[in-house]
Amino acid sequence: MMKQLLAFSQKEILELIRSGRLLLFVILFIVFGIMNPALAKLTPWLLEQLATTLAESGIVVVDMPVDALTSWQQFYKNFPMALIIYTILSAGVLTNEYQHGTLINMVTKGLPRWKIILAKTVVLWGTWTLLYSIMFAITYAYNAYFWDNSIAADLWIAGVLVYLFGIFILTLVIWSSTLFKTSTAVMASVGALVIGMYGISVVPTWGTYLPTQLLTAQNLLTEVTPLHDYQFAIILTGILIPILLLGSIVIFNQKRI
Amino acid sequence: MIILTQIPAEIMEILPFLIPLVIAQLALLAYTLWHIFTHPNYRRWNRMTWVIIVLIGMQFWGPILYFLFGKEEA
Repeated sequence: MMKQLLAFSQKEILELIRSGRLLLFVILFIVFGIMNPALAKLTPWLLEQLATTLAESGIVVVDMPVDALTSWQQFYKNFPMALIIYTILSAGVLTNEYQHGTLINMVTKGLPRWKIILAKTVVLWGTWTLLYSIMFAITYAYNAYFWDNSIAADLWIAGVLVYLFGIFILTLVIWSSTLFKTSTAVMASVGALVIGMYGISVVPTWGTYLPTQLLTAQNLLTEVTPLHDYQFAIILTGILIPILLLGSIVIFNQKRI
Repeated sequence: MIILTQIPAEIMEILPFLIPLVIAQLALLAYTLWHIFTHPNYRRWNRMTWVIIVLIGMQFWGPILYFLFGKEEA
Protein backbone atom coordinates (compact mmCIF):
# COMPACT_ATOMS: atom_id res chain seq x y z
CA MET A 1 0.00 0.00 0.00
CA MET A 2 2.77 2.39 1.01
CA LYS A 3 4.82 1.25 -1.96
CA GLN A 4 2.42 2.56 -4.59
CA LEU A 5 2.10 5.87 -2.76
CA LEU A 6 5.85 6.29 -2.58
CA ALA A 7 6.35 5.29 -6.20
CA PHE A 8 3.76 7.80 -7.39
CA SER A 9 5.23 10.58 -5.22
CA GLN A 10 8.67 9.74 -6.53
CA LYS A 11 7.40 10.02 -10.10
CA GLU A 12 5.96 13.44 -9.25
CA ILE A 13 9.23 14.65 -7.74
CA LEU A 14 11.22 13.38 -10.71
CA GLU A 15 8.89 15.23 -13.07
CA LEU A 16 9.33 18.38 -11.03
CA ILE A 17 13.10 18.10 -11.39
CA ARG A 18 13.20 16.96 -15.04
CA SER A 19 10.84 19.66 -16.28
CA GLY A 20 13.14 22.22 -14.63
CA ARG A 21 10.27 23.62 -12.59
CA LEU A 22 12.01 22.93 -9.30
CA LEU A 23 15.12 24.81 -10.43
CA LEU A 24 12.99 27.74 -11.57
CA PHE A 25 11.15 27.83 -8.23
CA VAL A 26 14.36 27.60 -6.18
CA ILE A 27 16.02 30.46 -8.08
CA LEU A 28 12.87 32.59 -7.78
CA PHE A 29 12.62 32.07 -4.04
CA ILE A 30 16.32 32.81 -3.58
CA VAL A 31 15.73 36.12 -5.39
CA PHE A 32 12.73 36.82 -3.15
CA GLY A 33 14.78 35.98 -0.05
CA ILE A 34 17.57 38.39 -1.00
CA MET A 35 15.18 41.13 -2.10
CA ASN A 36 13.71 41.68 1.39
CA PRO A 37 16.88 42.77 3.20
CA ALA A 38 18.16 44.50 0.05
CA LEU A 39 15.04 46.67 -0.14
CA ALA A 40 15.34 47.41 3.58
CA LYS A 41 18.96 48.44 3.10
CA LEU A 42 17.98 50.71 0.24
CA THR A 43 15.10 52.35 2.14
CA PRO A 44 17.11 55.29 3.60
CA TRP A 45 18.65 55.95 0.22
CA LEU A 46 15.25 55.89 -1.48
CA LEU A 47 13.85 58.22 1.17
CA GLU A 48 16.77 60.57 0.66
CA GLN A 49 16.00 60.74 -3.04
CA LEU A 50 12.38 61.40 -2.17
CA ALA A 51 13.28 63.93 0.54
CA THR A 52 14.81 66.41 -1.90
CA THR A 53 11.65 66.42 -3.97
CA LEU A 54 9.42 66.53 -0.94
CA ALA A 55 11.43 69.31 0.73
CA GLU A 56 10.49 71.57 -2.17
CA SER A 57 6.84 71.04 -1.36
CA GLY A 58 7.47 71.66 2.31
CA ILE A 59 7.43 68.10 3.62
CA VAL A 60 10.28 67.12 5.86
CA VAL A 61 11.32 63.48 5.85
CA VAL A 62 12.87 62.41 9.10
CA ASP A 63 15.60 59.80 9.11
CA MET A 64 14.07 56.40 9.42
CA PRO A 65 16.08 53.82 11.30
CA VAL A 66 16.56 50.62 9.34
CA ASP A 67 16.73 47.39 11.31
CA ALA A 68 15.73 43.76 11.08
CA LEU A 69 12.07 44.79 11.39
CA THR A 70 12.26 46.85 8.18
CA SER A 71 13.55 43.77 6.42
CA TRP A 72 10.89 41.49 7.93
CA GLN A 73 8.24 43.99 6.88
CA GLN A 74 9.48 43.60 3.32
CA PHE A 75 9.36 39.82 3.79
CA TYR A 76 5.66 39.89 4.70
CA LYS A 77 4.95 42.45 1.99
CA ASN A 78 6.54 40.26 -0.69
CA PHE A 79 5.21 36.99 0.68
CA PRO A 80 1.81 37.15 -1.09
CA MET A 81 3.54 37.70 -4.42
CA ALA A 82 5.76 34.65 -3.89
CA LEU A 83 2.76 32.53 -2.89
CA ILE A 84 0.69 33.79 -5.85
CA ILE A 85 3.47 32.95 -8.32
CA TYR A 86 3.97 29.48 -6.85
CA THR A 87 0.19 28.87 -6.82
CA ILE A 88 -0.27 29.98 -10.42
CA LEU A 89 2.65 27.87 -11.63
CA SER A 90 1.25 24.86 -9.73
CA ALA A 91 -2.41 25.32 -10.64
CA GLY A 92 -2.18 22.66 -13.34
CA VAL A 93 -1.09 19.97 -10.89
CA LEU A 94 -4.14 17.81 -11.68
CA THR A 95 -5.85 19.60 -14.56
CA ASN A 96 -2.86 19.11 -16.88
CA GLU A 97 -3.16 15.39 -16.28
CA TYR A 98 -6.89 15.43 -17.12
CA GLN A 99 -6.17 17.25 -20.36
CA HIS A 100 -3.58 14.71 -21.43
CA GLY A 101 -5.45 11.74 -20.03
CA THR A 102 -2.32 10.58 -18.22
CA LEU A 103 -4.14 9.46 -15.07
CA ILE A 104 -6.50 7.04 -16.85
CA ASN A 105 -3.72 4.53 -17.41
CA MET A 106 -2.69 4.43 -13.78
CA VAL A 107 -6.23 4.19 -12.45
CA THR A 108 -7.10 1.32 -14.80
CA LYS A 109 -3.90 -0.43 -13.76
CA GLY A 110 -5.14 -0.39 -10.19
CA LEU A 111 -3.73 2.74 -8.54
CA PRO A 112 -6.38 3.83 -6.04
CA ARG A 113 -7.57 7.35 -6.69
CA TRP A 114 -7.03 8.57 -3.15
CA LYS A 115 -3.34 7.81 -3.51
CA ILE A 116 -3.13 10.14 -6.51
CA ILE A 117 -4.63 12.97 -4.46
CA LEU A 118 -2.49 12.24 -1.43
CA ALA A 119 0.77 12.01 -3.37
CA LYS A 120 0.02 15.18 -5.36
CA THR A 121 -0.79 17.04 -2.14
CA VAL A 122 2.30 15.84 -0.30
CA VAL A 123 4.60 16.81 -3.17
CA LEU A 124 2.90 20.21 -3.52
CA TRP A 125 3.22 20.83 0.23
CA GLY A 126 6.77 19.52 0.32
CA THR A 127 7.93 21.79 -2.49
CA TRP A 128 6.27 24.74 -0.77
CA THR A 129 8.01 23.83 2.50
CA LEU A 130 11.38 23.74 0.76
CA LEU A 131 10.84 27.02 -1.10
CA TYR A 132 9.43 28.88 1.89
CA SER A 133 12.33 27.67 4.07
CA ILE A 134 14.81 28.95 1.48
CA MET A 135 13.18 32.38 1.37
CA PHE A 136 12.87 32.60 5.16
CA ALA A 137 16.42 31.35 5.83
CA ILE A 138 18.01 33.80 3.39
CA THR A 139 16.16 36.79 4.82
CA TYR A 140 16.94 35.56 8.33
CA ALA A 141 20.66 35.17 7.59
CA TYR A 142 21.00 38.64 6.06
CA ASN A 143 19.09 40.17 8.95
CA ALA A 144 21.32 38.43 11.46
CA TYR A 145 24.41 39.66 9.62
CA PHE A 146 23.39 43.29 9.20
CA TRP A 147 21.05 43.86 12.10
CA ASP A 148 19.60 41.91 14.96
CA ASN A 149 16.74 39.47 14.60
CA SER A 150 16.06 39.43 18.33
CA ILE A 151 14.16 42.73 18.18
CA ALA A 152 11.38 40.94 16.32
CA ALA A 153 9.02 39.26 18.78
CA ASP A 154 7.44 35.90 17.89
CA LEU A 155 9.58 35.75 14.76
CA TRP A 156 9.24 32.00 14.30
CA ILE A 157 5.53 31.83 15.12
CA ALA A 158 4.78 34.58 12.61
CA GLY A 159 6.85 32.70 10.04
CA VAL A 160 4.95 29.48 10.67
CA LEU A 161 1.57 31.24 10.43
CA VAL A 162 2.07 32.59 6.91
CA TYR A 163 3.58 29.23 5.93
CA LEU A 164 0.36 27.60 7.17
CA PHE A 165 -1.62 30.01 5.01
CA GLY A 166 0.41 28.79 2.03
CA ILE A 167 -0.42 25.17 2.89
CA PHE A 168 -4.09 26.15 3.10
CA ILE A 169 -4.04 27.82 -0.34
CA LEU A 170 -2.30 24.81 -1.90
CA THR A 171 -4.90 22.47 -0.40
CA LEU A 172 -7.54 24.73 -1.94
CA VAL A 173 -5.78 24.27 -5.28
CA ILE A 174 -6.04 20.47 -4.95
CA TRP A 175 -9.68 20.67 -3.89
CA SER A 176 -10.56 23.04 -6.70
CA SER A 177 -8.70 20.78 -9.16
CA THR A 178 -11.07 17.94 -8.34
CA LEU A 179 -14.03 20.22 -9.17
CA PHE A 180 -12.85 21.84 -12.39
CA LYS A 181 -11.22 20.70 -15.60
CA THR A 182 -8.85 23.56 -16.45
CA SER A 183 -6.08 25.30 -14.54
CA THR A 184 -7.66 28.66 -15.39
CA ALA A 185 -10.82 27.62 -13.52
CA VAL A 186 -8.68 26.43 -10.59
CA MET A 187 -6.83 29.76 -10.38
CA ALA A 188 -10.05 31.75 -10.75
CA SER A 189 -11.89 29.81 -8.04
CA VAL A 190 -9.00 29.95 -5.54
CA GLY A 191 -8.58 33.67 -6.26
CA ALA A 192 -12.30 34.27 -5.84
CA LEU A 193 -12.34 32.43 -2.50
CA VAL A 194 -9.44 34.48 -1.13
CA ILE A 195 -11.04 37.72 -2.34
CA GLY A 196 -14.29 36.55 -0.76
CA MET A 197 -12.54 36.03 2.56
CA TYR A 198 -11.10 39.51 2.34
CA GLY A 199 -14.61 40.77 1.60
CA ILE A 200 -15.97 39.12 4.73
CA SER A 201 -13.14 40.47 6.86
CA VAL A 202 -14.43 43.99 6.22
CA VAL A 203 -16.94 43.20 8.98
CA PRO A 204 -15.12 43.98 12.25
CA THR A 205 -13.91 40.93 14.23
CA TRP A 206 -15.09 38.46 11.52
CA GLY A 207 -11.80 38.81 9.78
CA THR A 208 -9.89 37.47 12.77
CA TYR A 209 -11.61 34.09 12.39
CA LEU A 210 -10.68 33.54 8.76
CA PRO A 211 -7.47 32.02 7.37
CA THR A 212 -6.64 35.38 5.74
CA GLN A 213 -5.95 36.64 9.27
CA LEU A 214 -2.75 34.56 9.15
CA LEU A 215 -1.39 36.91 6.49
CA THR A 216 -1.29 39.72 9.05
CA ALA A 217 1.17 37.72 11.18
CA GLN A 218 3.79 40.46 10.78
CA ASN A 219 1.87 42.38 13.45
CA LEU A 220 3.19 39.80 15.90
CA LEU A 221 6.75 41.00 15.31
CA THR A 222 6.00 44.47 16.65
CA GLU A 223 3.50 43.09 19.17
CA VAL A 224 0.74 45.22 17.62
CA THR A 225 -1.55 42.18 17.71
CA PRO A 226 -1.34 39.65 20.53
CA LEU A 227 -0.95 35.98 19.63
CA HIS A 228 -4.39 35.00 20.93
CA ASP A 229 -5.97 37.12 18.18
CA TYR A 230 -4.80 34.39 15.84
CA GLN A 231 -6.20 31.44 17.78
CA PHE A 232 -9.46 31.11 15.84
CA ALA A 233 -7.80 31.59 12.47
CA ILE A 234 -5.21 28.92 13.31
CA ILE A 235 -7.86 26.46 14.53
CA LEU A 236 -10.18 27.10 11.58
CA THR A 237 -7.34 26.72 9.06
CA GLY A 238 -6.20 23.58 10.84
CA ILE A 239 -9.71 22.13 10.54
CA LEU A 240 -10.28 23.27 6.95
CA ILE A 241 -7.10 21.68 5.58
CA PRO A 242 -8.04 18.03 6.40
CA ILE A 243 -11.68 18.68 5.45
CA LEU A 244 -10.66 20.04 2.05
CA LEU A 245 -8.33 17.10 1.55
CA LEU A 246 -11.02 14.58 2.47
CA GLY A 247 -13.48 16.44 0.25
CA SER A 248 -11.00 16.30 -2.63
CA ILE A 249 -10.70 12.52 -2.30
CA VAL A 250 -14.49 12.07 -2.17
CA ILE A 251 -15.08 14.27 -5.23
CA PHE A 252 -12.14 12.79 -7.13
CA ASN A 253 -13.52 9.27 -6.63
CA GLN A 254 -16.61 10.25 -8.65
CA LYS A 255 -14.80 12.30 -11.23
CA ARG A 256 -14.43 11.34 -14.85
CA ILE A 257 -10.74 11.66 -15.59
CA MET B 1 31.98 66.42 -2.11
CA ILE B 2 30.04 64.65 0.60
CA ILE B 3 28.08 62.74 -1.98
CA LEU B 4 31.23 61.71 -3.84
CA THR B 5 32.84 60.20 -0.77
CA GLN B 6 29.60 58.47 0.16
CA ILE B 7 29.12 56.55 -3.04
CA PRO B 8 31.82 53.89 -2.66
CA ALA B 9 30.78 53.13 0.91
CA GLU B 10 27.16 52.77 -0.15
CA ILE B 11 28.02 50.49 -3.00
CA MET B 12 30.21 48.44 -0.67
CA GLU B 13 27.24 48.10 1.66
CA ILE B 14 24.91 46.69 -0.95
CA LEU B 15 27.47 44.37 -2.55
CA PRO B 16 26.52 41.42 -0.29
CA PHE B 17 23.04 41.67 -1.83
CA LEU B 18 24.00 42.70 -5.31
CA ILE B 19 26.39 39.84 -6.07
CA PRO B 20 24.13 36.88 -5.16
CA LEU B 21 21.11 38.67 -6.62
CA VAL B 22 22.86 39.21 -9.95
CA ILE B 23 24.10 35.60 -9.97
CA ALA B 24 20.59 34.25 -9.25
CA GLN B 25 19.01 36.47 -11.86
CA LEU B 26 21.60 35.60 -14.50
CA ALA B 27 21.08 31.90 -13.74
CA LEU B 28 17.34 32.36 -14.19
CA LEU B 29 17.88 34.29 -17.40
CA ALA B 30 20.30 31.69 -18.78
CA TYR B 31 17.98 28.83 -17.88
CA THR B 32 14.97 30.54 -19.47
CA LEU B 33 16.85 31.37 -22.67
CA TRP B 34 18.13 27.79 -22.83
CA HIS B 35 14.56 26.57 -22.48
CA ILE B 36 13.32 28.89 -25.23
CA PHE B 37 16.05 27.86 -27.66
CA THR B 38 15.64 24.13 -27.04
CA HIS B 39 11.85 24.21 -27.53
CA PRO B 40 10.51 24.98 -31.01
CA ASN B 41 6.86 25.46 -30.08
CA TYR B 42 5.23 27.85 -27.64
CA ARG B 43 1.71 28.20 -26.34
CA ARG B 44 1.55 31.58 -28.02
CA TRP B 45 3.74 33.92 -30.02
CA ASN B 46 7.14 32.98 -31.41
CA ARG B 47 10.73 32.58 -30.29
CA MET B 48 11.76 36.17 -31.07
CA THR B 49 8.90 37.64 -29.01
CA TRP B 50 9.78 35.50 -26.00
CA VAL B 51 13.48 36.31 -26.17
CA ILE B 52 12.63 40.02 -26.20
CA ILE B 53 10.15 39.70 -23.31
CA VAL B 54 12.59 37.68 -21.21
CA LEU B 55 15.43 40.13 -21.85
CA ILE B 56 13.30 43.17 -21.03
CA GLY B 57 11.98 41.62 -17.84
CA MET B 58 15.19 39.89 -16.92
CA GLN B 59 15.04 40.81 -13.22
CA PHE B 60 12.56 37.96 -12.98
CA TRP B 61 9.27 39.04 -14.54
CA GLY B 62 10.35 38.03 -18.03
CA PRO B 63 11.17 34.41 -17.10
CA ILE B 64 7.99 34.12 -15.00
CA LEU B 65 5.84 35.36 -17.88
CA TYR B 66 7.52 32.88 -20.19
CA PHE B 67 6.94 29.91 -17.90
CA LEU B 68 3.35 31.01 -17.30
CA PHE B 69 2.24 31.81 -20.84
CA GLY B 70 4.92 30.67 -23.25
CA LYS B 71 6.12 27.25 -22.17
CA GLU B 72 4.26 24.47 -23.88
CA GLU B 73 2.69 21.90 -21.58
CA ALA B 74 4.82 18.81 -21.40
